[in-house]
Amino acid sequence: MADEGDDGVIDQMEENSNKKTTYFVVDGSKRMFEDDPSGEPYGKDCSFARAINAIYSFCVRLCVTEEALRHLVGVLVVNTTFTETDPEIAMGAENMKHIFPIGVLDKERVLELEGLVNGGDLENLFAELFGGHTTCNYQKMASYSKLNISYSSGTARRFTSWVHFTNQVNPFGENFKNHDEYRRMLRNLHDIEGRKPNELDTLRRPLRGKCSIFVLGDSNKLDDSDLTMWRTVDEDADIYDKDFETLIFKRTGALRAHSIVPFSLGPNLEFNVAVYSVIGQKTKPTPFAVHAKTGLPIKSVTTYKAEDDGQEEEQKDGALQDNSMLPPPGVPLQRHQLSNVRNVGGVKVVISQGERDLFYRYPKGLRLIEFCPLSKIDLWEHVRVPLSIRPHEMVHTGATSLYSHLFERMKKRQIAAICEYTGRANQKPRNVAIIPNEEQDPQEGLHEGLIVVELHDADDKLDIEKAFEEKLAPTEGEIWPAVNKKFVEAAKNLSTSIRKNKFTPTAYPNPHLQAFYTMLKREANLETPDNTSEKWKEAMVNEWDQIKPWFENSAIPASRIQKAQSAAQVFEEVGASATIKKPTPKRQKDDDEEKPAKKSKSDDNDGVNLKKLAQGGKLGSLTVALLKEYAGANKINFGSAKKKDDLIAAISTHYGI
Amino acid sequence: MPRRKAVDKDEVSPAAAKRKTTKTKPDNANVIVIDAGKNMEGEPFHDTIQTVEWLLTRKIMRSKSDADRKTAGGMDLFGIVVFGCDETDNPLGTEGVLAKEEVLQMATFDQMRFLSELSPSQKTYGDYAQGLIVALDWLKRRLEDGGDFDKKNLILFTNALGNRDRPTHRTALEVIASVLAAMDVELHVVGLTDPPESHSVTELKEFVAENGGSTYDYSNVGKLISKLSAYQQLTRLNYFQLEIAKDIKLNFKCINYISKARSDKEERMRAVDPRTLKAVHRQRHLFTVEETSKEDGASGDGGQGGPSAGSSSYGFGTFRPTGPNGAAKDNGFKKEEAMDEGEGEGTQQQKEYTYTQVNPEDKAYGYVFGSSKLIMDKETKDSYNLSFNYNRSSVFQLICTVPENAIHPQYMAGTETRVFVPDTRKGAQPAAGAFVEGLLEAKAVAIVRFAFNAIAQPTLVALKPRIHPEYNTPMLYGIRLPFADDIRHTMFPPLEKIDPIKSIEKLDLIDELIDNFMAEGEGALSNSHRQREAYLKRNQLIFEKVGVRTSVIKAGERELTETQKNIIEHVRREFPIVDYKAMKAAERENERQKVAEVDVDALLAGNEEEEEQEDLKPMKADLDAKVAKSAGDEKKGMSLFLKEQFAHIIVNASDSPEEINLNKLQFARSWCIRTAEPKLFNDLMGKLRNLDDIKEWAARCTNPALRPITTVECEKSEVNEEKAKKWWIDDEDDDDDF
Repeated sequence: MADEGDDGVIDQMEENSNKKTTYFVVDGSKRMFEDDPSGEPYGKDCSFARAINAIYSFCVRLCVTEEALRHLVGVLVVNTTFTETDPEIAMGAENMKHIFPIGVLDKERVLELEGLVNGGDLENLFAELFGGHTTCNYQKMASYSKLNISYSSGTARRFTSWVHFTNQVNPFGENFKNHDEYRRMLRNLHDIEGRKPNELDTLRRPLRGKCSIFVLGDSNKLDDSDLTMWRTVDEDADIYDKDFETLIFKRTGALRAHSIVPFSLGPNLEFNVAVYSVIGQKTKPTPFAVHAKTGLPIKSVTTYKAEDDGQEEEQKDGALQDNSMLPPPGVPLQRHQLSNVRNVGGVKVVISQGERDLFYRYPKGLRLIEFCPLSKIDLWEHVRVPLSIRPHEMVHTGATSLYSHLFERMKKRQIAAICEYTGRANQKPRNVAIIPNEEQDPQEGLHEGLIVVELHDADDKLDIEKAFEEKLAPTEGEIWPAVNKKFVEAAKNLSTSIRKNKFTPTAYPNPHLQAFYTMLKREANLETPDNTSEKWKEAMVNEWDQIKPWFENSAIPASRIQKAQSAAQVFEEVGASATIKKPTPKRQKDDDEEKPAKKSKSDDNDGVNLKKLAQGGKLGSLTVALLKEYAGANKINFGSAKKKDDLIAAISTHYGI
Repeated sequence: MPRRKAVDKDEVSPAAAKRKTTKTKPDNANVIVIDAGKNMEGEPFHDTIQTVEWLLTRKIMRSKSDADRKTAGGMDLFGIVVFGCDETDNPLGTEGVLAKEEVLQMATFDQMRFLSELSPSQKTYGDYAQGLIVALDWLKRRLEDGGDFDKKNLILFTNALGNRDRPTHRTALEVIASVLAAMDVELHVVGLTDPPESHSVTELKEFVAENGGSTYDYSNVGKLISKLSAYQQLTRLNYFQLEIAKDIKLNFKCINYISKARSDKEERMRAVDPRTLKAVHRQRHLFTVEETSKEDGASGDGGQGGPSAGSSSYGFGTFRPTGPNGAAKDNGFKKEEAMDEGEGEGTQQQKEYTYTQVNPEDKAYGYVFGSSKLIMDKETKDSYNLSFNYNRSSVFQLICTVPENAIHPQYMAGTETRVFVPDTRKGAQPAAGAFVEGLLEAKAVAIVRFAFNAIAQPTLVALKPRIHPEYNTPMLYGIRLPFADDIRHTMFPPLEKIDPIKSIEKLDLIDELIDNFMAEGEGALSNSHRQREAYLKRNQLIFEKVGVRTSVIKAGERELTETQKNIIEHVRREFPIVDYKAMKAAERENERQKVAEVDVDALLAGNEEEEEQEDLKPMKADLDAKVAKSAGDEKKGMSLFLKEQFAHIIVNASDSPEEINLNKLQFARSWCIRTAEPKLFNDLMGKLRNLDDIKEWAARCTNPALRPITTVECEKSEVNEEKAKKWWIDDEDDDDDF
């Protein structure tokens, strides 16, 4: 039995390995219930209720994404009368009890929290669950937290967050630094963070955790000097009275590096950098499949069978000679047993899966090719979400210094580094530009440092010349219409009236995801469903859909709306909204049939006096396509000239101008 | 099905004539004319071969599939004519001119092999006029054979120095000019020196200019490549109406201008059965697995289709899903639960797995909420309306405008760039154009809500106004922006904080590094250059398999100049990058040395009793510990072990007490408790208490390894709980106990 028990612990440790851990420790002392702004103890806005509410929001938000499966969460209430601790690791810890211990969140756990949030009479509820209020030893609280985290988090732990909610600004008195309990508590909390006493070591190795202190209270009554003690634990500790729910996500959300790669500047000169994707498209979680009747999960297996063309199977050139490891003919194969064939350059190249894996294993890293001015790179022609790189000193030290000097100079001189980048061993090499970014706004996803922007290959880009000649050039009318200054002015006015000084992505939540999350919450019985479709529609428009056009956005001041409307009115006068039907296939066919007619139209272009235009120096007003057309119609040899200037020169030469 | 045909065909004929005529557009004819005369010896010839190989490589790797051809236009076909060589083989019988193939064909490895064997002549000088005449005649013959070509290009690689001493006959050039015009052939010349080395170079340049051709040097040959054989995808237009105000819409047409998907196409390979090289088709099997525990020997009821059974010697396990009628299907499944073997050993319980095949209609879906599963049937899911396009066929609405620099590179979150151009089919064109210009004048970028079609999710898109430099077309570049949900929260410490020291000398050194590695001209930024590097690496496998080793392969390798090497070396010296593990190992070794040298006796002189000083020789103690342990005297071993630890602690105490190996102390502590020898450990703790540095640190450190053994833990101990608590703090408690 003992063996079985050990197996159980090991299984649990394996299951909990490689997961993030967030451990909430809520102060359950009486003080936490007495600070409701209404003055009534145990009110719904007391610090304890607000802390539990924030944890509840955090848990719900986590559960609706797939992240929850990679995240362990536990909630401990301290300063309670009841003691419910794990005897194996308690080490004398008393007066603390879990709402739920560290583990993967599920519906039941969230419902437990929900019960505390919406359970009604908080006083009775608390008394029932936790007995009442008392005071616990802070050192024990910290050491129990530390042991709990390390016992629950498996063999390989990802980032750990220890979050403490309290309204006690300093339980140890002014001379807290000499207080034994404080010193032991601090030591335990530093252990959770993996902080080394040596500052250099802390720099060298990123912390494996973060202890956050949320001092709940009225920020008007407390000031920074009250936080001296807590700031020794968490330098970002602050006083919060409201809106700290999202902050918990930010504090607990240490991003894991996408990859750690060597950045090679030249022979024998490389340092390690960690690559992070700071912006990533978030999508709905993937649904899983179950059997509709039995509810059992459905698994799938894919096999591959040779297509039967009625011919007898025979060995072909390049076919695998030694197939003793393969099943007999006719039996389906699995993916790893297949080969790949590519017809290139008149040769049929056969590549087995093993060869493919071996050959496509490129050494990972960033390799400098050259530097170039930033102005040479058109960042609007990008092909992938940018990545952020930071120095990483786990393997080599000295990276930070070289990185920051490089960054400093690239920033000052506005220089980009053109590099070859292979993020992972089996990834194709890509050409990237590393650009310096000095703006900082972590809330909006901006970080100071170097950014990797992938450059497009020649084939990624459509042949714009051809596209312009065939598709985008004006097909009707002689020249690109002259710009009417009245419209330009109106567009400018419109632009100014609805102008914002900066783009803030946080102002635009994804409406689709918001609705989807609500659907999950309802299905998990966390929200009372308003089953009427009208209510849902109303919520869609007013609650989740925040990316409204300016004319439907009530947040814009009326005066600006009016100004924008009068500017836009100018466009209405010209019937800008003339509807154009999408060309249907039939219509496209019609267009094709009309081609000869179009051709005859070009014949009519003789009517345009090209010579006169040339003499008047007005050729510049024609587009390249028209210039070519007219030159062709007038039998002017313009060779392979594609540029406007060349065409004009050819026409002018033809007429001897 | 074209895919099947392509694989099953024994040989894909390179000849254009043999291909099935499913194309919508005729092919392009490209005749490469190479000067292999003595005048090309050395670098010019090397550059020529490399350029031609690169051109062919690119086409080989990007040969269009049949499916592409239907939408993307004609193929690029090639023929090679060499002049100024020692061989003669051409229909006109012109001496020293070799026309390799009989037909124009898609780029092949054969052509690359031919090029790699080619070398400049040692006696003959190349006459480009002769080469051009033969090439034009050769192309004319292909046309007469029934070839129908869209574009016809003649690409001449020469330095024209073969004609230095024998000026080209004017008549020959006139003939060439008239044939070029008559056949509508475009002439491209690569490799002419600038400034011209000889009159013959100037002459050829003038001739090319007169005939509407173009000249290139080897460094800007990328432009030629993109002109010749740019991969043409069908540019499909989409039409959108940008709602700039309530019911005021401007008409735009849109193309996907830059999209990563295009170059990823090159990777297309076809999966085949390795035994026969026949194409395979995928079979997807759905099943449920039910785990049951049965008494040994009992069998399951097998669910719907009865129990599964059977095994295979090919590693396909026992699972054979059964059909609805109970007949076993041999689908070659691999049994996933290999680990259940042996689990039943020693017990009467045996786990059985019942596999039941599932009809796709019986599939239901669900989502996870945490680790709980929420199963939703289709009706439930449909009852939630998740479409935010409000029954519109597409959405394109103006949200606001922001300054141009507000769209930070980090916000460019999409994988493609769209270009919106005012629709010219209706009269609204001036208004749309004016809107673009208005934005341009206001230096603003428009943020719009965009949904491609009725079922697409709405996205945030930034529209940047631009005017096409050549066509004067007003256009809007559109890229996707992130939503609030897309931002990942990070906690990077500010760089200033983690590395505040920036010496001017080091910054100057970085400046020097940048200057030395600064791009010349377009450098690596040119599309062609970038793609070349990428192609070579991505297709390395193909080259290896085919066995073609060309100079192109080597082109990916970067060679540094002496100055560059020096500056790299200089940077390396100034910014030492040290292997952390090696550094730590060296530190440990250093510590070992220090421990060996430390005079513990002197340190403890006067503080300790004589008998204790006796054996405080760390290295000797370490040795003795091992000897005693091997002799079975564990107590002596431990005593010596503790003394060794004490020596380590003394060495570390002054600078970094945190380096003390607490695990070793913990081990010793546990041993002392287990063997009822608390004095050994408590003596050590007592000695440590006399060291101020250690004492201060230990007072903060809560590690139980630094706690003396108390009477609670071991009855023999002389330290009670109360004393243990104040061990490191209370100064009045001297080592009276010892």
